Amino acid sequence: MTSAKALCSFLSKAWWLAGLPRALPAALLLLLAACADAPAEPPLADEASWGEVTASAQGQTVYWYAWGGDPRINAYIDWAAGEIDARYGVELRHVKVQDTAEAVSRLVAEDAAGRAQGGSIDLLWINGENFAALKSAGLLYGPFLERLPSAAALDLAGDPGLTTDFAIDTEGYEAPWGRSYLTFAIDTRTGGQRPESVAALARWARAHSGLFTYPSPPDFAGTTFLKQVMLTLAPATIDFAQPPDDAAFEQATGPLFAYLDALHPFLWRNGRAFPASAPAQRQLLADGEIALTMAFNPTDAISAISRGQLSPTVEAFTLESGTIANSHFLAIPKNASARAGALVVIDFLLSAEAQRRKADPKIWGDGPVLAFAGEAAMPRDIPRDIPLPNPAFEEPHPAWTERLETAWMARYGE
Amino acid sequence: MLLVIVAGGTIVIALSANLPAAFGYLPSLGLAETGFEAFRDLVHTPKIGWSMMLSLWTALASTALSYLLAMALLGVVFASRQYGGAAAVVGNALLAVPHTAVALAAAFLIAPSGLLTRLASGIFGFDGPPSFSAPGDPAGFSLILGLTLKETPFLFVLGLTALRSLAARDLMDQARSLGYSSYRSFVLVVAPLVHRQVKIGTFIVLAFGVGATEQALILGPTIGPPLSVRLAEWFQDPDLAKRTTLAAGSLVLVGLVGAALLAWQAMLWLAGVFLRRRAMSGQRKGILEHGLFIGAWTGFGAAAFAILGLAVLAFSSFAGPWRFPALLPDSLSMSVWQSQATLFATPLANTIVIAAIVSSVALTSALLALETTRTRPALRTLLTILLLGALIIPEPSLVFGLSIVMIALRVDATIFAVVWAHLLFALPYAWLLLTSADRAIDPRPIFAARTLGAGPLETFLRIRLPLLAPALLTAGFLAAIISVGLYLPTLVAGAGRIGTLTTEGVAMAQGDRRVAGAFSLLLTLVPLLLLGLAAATRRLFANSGITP
Repeated sequence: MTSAKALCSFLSKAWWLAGLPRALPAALLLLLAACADAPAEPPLADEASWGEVTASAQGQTVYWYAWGGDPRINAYIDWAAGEIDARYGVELRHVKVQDTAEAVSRLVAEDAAGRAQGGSIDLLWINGENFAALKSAGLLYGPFLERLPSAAALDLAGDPGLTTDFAIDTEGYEAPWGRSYLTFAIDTRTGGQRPESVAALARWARAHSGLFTYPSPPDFAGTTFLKQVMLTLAPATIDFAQPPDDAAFEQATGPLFAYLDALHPFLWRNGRAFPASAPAQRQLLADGEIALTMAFNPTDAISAISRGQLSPTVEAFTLESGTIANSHFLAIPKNASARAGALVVIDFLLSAEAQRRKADPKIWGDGPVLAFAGEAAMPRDIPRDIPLPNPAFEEPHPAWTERLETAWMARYGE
Repeated sequence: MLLVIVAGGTIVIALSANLPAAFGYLPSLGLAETGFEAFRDLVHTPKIGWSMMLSLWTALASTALSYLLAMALLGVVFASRQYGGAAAVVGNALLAVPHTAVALAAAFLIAPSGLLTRLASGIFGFDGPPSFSAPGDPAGFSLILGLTLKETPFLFVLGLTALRSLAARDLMDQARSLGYSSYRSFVLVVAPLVHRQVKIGTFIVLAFGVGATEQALILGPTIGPPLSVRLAEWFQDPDLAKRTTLAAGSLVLVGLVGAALLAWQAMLWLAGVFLRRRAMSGQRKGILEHGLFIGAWTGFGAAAFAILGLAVLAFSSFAGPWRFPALLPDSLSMSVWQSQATLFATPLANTIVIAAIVSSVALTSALLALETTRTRPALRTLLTILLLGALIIPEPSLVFGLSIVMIALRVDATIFAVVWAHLLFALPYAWLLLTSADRAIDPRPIFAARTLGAGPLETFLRIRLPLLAPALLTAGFLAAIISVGLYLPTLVAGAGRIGTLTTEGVAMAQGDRRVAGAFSLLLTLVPLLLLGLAAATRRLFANSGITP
């Protein structure tokens, strides 16, 4: 059995290296087929020490399902994979999904198929409604956060942003990875004066017809834009930390949809088509098709200028009428094949070294989850030309996101 | 024998796996409530009728357009008597470039801020990009363009092969001696014969168009997309009940191909009536020649458009800021290639390795099947029909059906699954090439060898295999080229875990165009390299005198 396992694990790593003779592939394929049913690693005991975790992680391959829409983030993950391989002998493979809901679909399918072990996903980049769905279905492994040595540096008790995901208590089933907020960017050459508020944005769009749009929900940047407008315009009496009832939803979204109804005729393609994602919209700005874009990352535009995608006439800013901010997390599926490897990867990603690199605007510019020694926490340590999130809105309960996306699709998407 | 069953059986299993699932029975996902719920859900999907009509319309329009352009090009090239070789090289090259790369290239040319409007703005002097909805126009014209750019070379190359096997030159000379112009002779005398041989090719093009996914994702509308894109969305829906809707939709897609084939036959019948009437009129000159001429120049234009698009998109990967209406970027920059180099390496390696495995497995199994069916002609015919079936059934219907089987067998998301899915589309071409080469073999040396006492194995190794070697090589490279271009089979069978240039290229198409340009460049270079290798080895064979 062990020799079969060793063979399978050898094959799964080395199949692409071998200069295979002509006749071998058929036999190889049969073997690989057998490997698919080979027994998975014995699940890691919950009380295993960190030393045991790193020991059993050695040689594992971790499949990380993470949004792959931004080349900059992909490059950061690629760097982390190299470091993790060198230090812990864990092979990290980035599976680039276009929407984390794809990974949720996969986990739900594996659960329905009775695949309680040997699942195809080892690690997830996740937050909000996707986390809520998986946690309530009992498909996540945990609690694991406090087992990680790196977690000691997190201010878990003092910072609710590290343990609350869209108003839901993470209970150690997620590790905070970073935080960010909705930021806009304007090409001053064609867009002129930047709008300072949600209301001013509508006036700006009217004056610059066809030069603004937003990513098509359920893309997360597009949905976040909807939420920011909703939170800005909704009556103060609504409790967004609770799932909405019909009355609250009507009350909160009434002003939003009135706003969008008035805005859409002045959008790019008259609001009859929307870009697929924030990076897609950034490309439209680069082409000069629009003059105003957004990203869920304060350094998105600045870094695109430094990479030569955007021209230096582009400026980043946030709306003074309020900016939505949230944290994003890492989670491990219950049926992960490489649980120990996933823990090791998360521990590395939370280390000061990895967090510092991630916060570098030239690399990614994502907000760190830990305070660096001798430096102030985000956002005070970021350069002057990076806009600040003031005043910040909290993410509403994930049930709002789902209803909002459905309502938007019904109204504008079909 | 086993290989024959596996190869042919996969198609049957993949298609029929949709059936129980469409009626709600999907035990591998814990769904066992049978009924018509899936079809009900399908029918109640908003704008689903529009999606189906769009799939049908884009497939029919692109097939008709590609067919007309390819025929016109064939006519002009054939009548010219000298550009056949050059046209074949360009046709083969464009045929080898994956759909994804061509779609990305077309998107960059036709967008409101694209290269074409930039040229126009230089001439007519407007500063802002004009407002029109392309790519992604609601009626699918951009998608028709993308499909036509890819299918014209396919039909053109098929037609060239057909022309070589026909005594077309003699027929044309006879018609010309009766006073018909060479263009008119081609249309009235040669084209009907060519048509008979490329007919199956047009069916393949039509079925592919109905199921086109990657081009629809890049060039098709996002609101009210073609049915194929809806299927891909249902496959990724967290609500598992959507998997039954997906199965129902896969069956509907097969039905759409049937409807498209009927409509296509009706169009051909009408065209036949028209052409017969022209032929019976006895006129020596008329509008046919003009039509042929215009069609051919449109065809040349389309080829030039595709090549220009691919070149400009590749160039964009070296560009700095490049805003409308600038014809050239403000500066050049290697930043994409430098910062993303390692990100290209893995998909590139995966692409090459998968193509190599697919190619060798396809060759081995095609060769084995060829030998085992040598004495069983009925079995060989059955296998040919089954394998051709994989090309006439829309790709998504087969791929999503196969994924049901793979999930039940728990082999999905493995390299094995990806190779298996690729074989579904690579094996038919390898098989068709090998069987036709096998038919062309002169049986006399084989008889002679047997008479001189050589055993069956020795005859095979020393006579038949060397005679088949050039065809084997071509089939091997063809299988590899097909494997490089496959999008949906890779994505679905590999569950996204096995990223190739095509899957990553489509994923990146939405972001930084320079990254898309880099993927497109690699996606163009790899098949062209394979094509060049194929040509070089063929020449090697020709020089060594092994070719029959």
